[in-house]
Amino acid sequence: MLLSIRDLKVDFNVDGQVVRVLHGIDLDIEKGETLGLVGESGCGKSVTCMAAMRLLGERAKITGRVNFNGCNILKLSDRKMENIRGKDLAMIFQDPVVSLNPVMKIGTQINEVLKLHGNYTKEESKKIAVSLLKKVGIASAECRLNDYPHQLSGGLCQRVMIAMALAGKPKILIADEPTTALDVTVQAQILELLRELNNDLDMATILVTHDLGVIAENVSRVMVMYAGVVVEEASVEDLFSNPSHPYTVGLLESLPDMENEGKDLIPIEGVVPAPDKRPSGCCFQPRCKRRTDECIKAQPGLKVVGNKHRVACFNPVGSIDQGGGNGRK
Amino acid sequence: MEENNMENTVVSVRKLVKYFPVKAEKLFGSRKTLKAVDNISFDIYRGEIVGIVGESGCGKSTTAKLVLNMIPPTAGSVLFNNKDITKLNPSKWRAMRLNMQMIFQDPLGALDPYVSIGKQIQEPLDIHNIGNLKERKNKVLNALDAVSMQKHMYDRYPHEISGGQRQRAVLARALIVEPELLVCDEPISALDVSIQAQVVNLFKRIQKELGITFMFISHDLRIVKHLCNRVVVMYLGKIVEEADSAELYSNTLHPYTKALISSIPLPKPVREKERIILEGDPPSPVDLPSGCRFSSRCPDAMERCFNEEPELIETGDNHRVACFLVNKGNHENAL
Repeated sequence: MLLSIRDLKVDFNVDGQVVRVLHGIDLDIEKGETLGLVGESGCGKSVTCMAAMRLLGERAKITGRVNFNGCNILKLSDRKMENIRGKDLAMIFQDPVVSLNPVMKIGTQINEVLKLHGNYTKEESKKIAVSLLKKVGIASAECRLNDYPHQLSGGLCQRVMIAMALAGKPKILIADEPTTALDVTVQAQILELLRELNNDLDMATILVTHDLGVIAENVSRVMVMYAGVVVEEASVEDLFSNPSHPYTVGLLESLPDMENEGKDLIPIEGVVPAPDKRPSGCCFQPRCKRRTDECIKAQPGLKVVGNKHRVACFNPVGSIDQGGGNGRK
Repeated sequence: MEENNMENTVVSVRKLVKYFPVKAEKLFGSRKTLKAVDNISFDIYRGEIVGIVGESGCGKSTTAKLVLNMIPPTAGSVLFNNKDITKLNPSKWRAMRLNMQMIFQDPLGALDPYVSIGKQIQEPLDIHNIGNLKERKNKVLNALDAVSMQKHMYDRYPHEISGGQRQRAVLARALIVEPELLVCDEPISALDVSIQAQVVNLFKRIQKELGITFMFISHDLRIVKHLCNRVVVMYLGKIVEEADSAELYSNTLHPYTKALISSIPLPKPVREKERIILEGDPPSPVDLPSGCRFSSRCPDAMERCFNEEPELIETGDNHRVACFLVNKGNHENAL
């Protein structure tokens, strides 16, 4: 196992009040694998990634284990963590234009990363920078080195970000909503690039997104998150052909179907609860159509329902003992 | 489109042009113009939902602002109920304005943080001096009800309610003056998927119950297919294709529309059709390619496409397309 996260909990200190935003996440990813994290805003996708990268700063209290290459990186000194972050674990973010420094040339910014990862001469690092830009599909890479971020489009900036992330030859690339700020045709380009890189460079990819469409075509395994917990985990085929958690089913039903028009969308009523206003029992219970008394009393843990398919629900959809549509016993 | 009688047409846009001057890059460089909207014509019929789609920079939002007369056009006209609103005097325009309302992407930015939701929904009535205070309050409560918000939301402030509720409040404020036309610019892009579905269903219900005409601007082709009766596809300030929603998605003609539809990530792990991935980004509307504007990215571009600009031509079934691949013949019967 390349990265294995166990019982990851994150508490934020908000005005002296401790608010728990992650409630014990388990996550495993193997070499070369692509894992998708999906959920709505505020469900803890980004916090999971940031906690694993130790990017949350001092306001956050992180407990649990994040084992990378057999050592718990939460326990590492800041110095040692800096050697891993950016090198073995790289991350790209939603808004590439904001992630780049507006007053520095692209080439200088890539050089900065290269300086951290090795001792290269000026010529060497320029060569590497050009080859990185070519790898992410930027034409006339030599000229681009002298451009400033504002001279590039959003899609190109995201490619530059990916090039910088690849500079340390990472073992895991975490992409946090990498295409949300881009147009659909450009989104298709970037997603294809990430797929190719994952195959060519044999690195594992964690793709964080709210878009089930993006998930479906780009990862092999999916974890669905809701309000700081993982509610379902399955292979991508299983998740879409056989969704078990009412929340996953709800997400799928709220998407318009490209083939069956005219059908009304089935929204999930209500909203994601705020971290400091979590309901008792299952966190999805107030919005769930299959709620029973049990759901209000206790929080369900992840249970195996199929081949590598786990779900945290007392009345999963498609289970044998289901009591009709709303499962009220 | 001419066969539809004029009573059925709420908005008709004719040869509309909007150029913006752009600062020269160098001190003594020549000034350039950004051609945001370049000679477009289309109609919006009563009671329908028209979707305007395209990528960022294609002129969707500028078109919306022009239709609402928020910015003056460089040339061309916008007829609202057969009156050219670009030439109305201010007092007449103010009365006319009541019939056209708008909502935008970010509801938090559209609401005043210091004023309660109820008061904000009431504001259009205050401005246009409609009804007495009691009637106004009643109208607000009805409007809240129409957008499925509870009465106690009246006293809430924008920060106290969720994103979906805020967008409902903005919608209620637009509906309270009973407009004929509602222009929505990316109204659901800032919302989560499950909330998007709630708001989309609300739009559908309002269109059915109140018979309001919608101009719905979006980059999400899934939502547009689900919601709109008719779709206008724009690329770099031009309309490239226009058709009824079902026709557009089943009989896509323009290569750009094909690529757009093919780029939609579908919630299905196995893809049946090979995806068309366009190269590069849309060119800047300041430095437009010669010939067809899509020629620089078009997978099927021919020599002619780089030299001549195709006209938007009716191909039948209310379907118009601007592409030489489709309209091989003469371009004399251009609209």
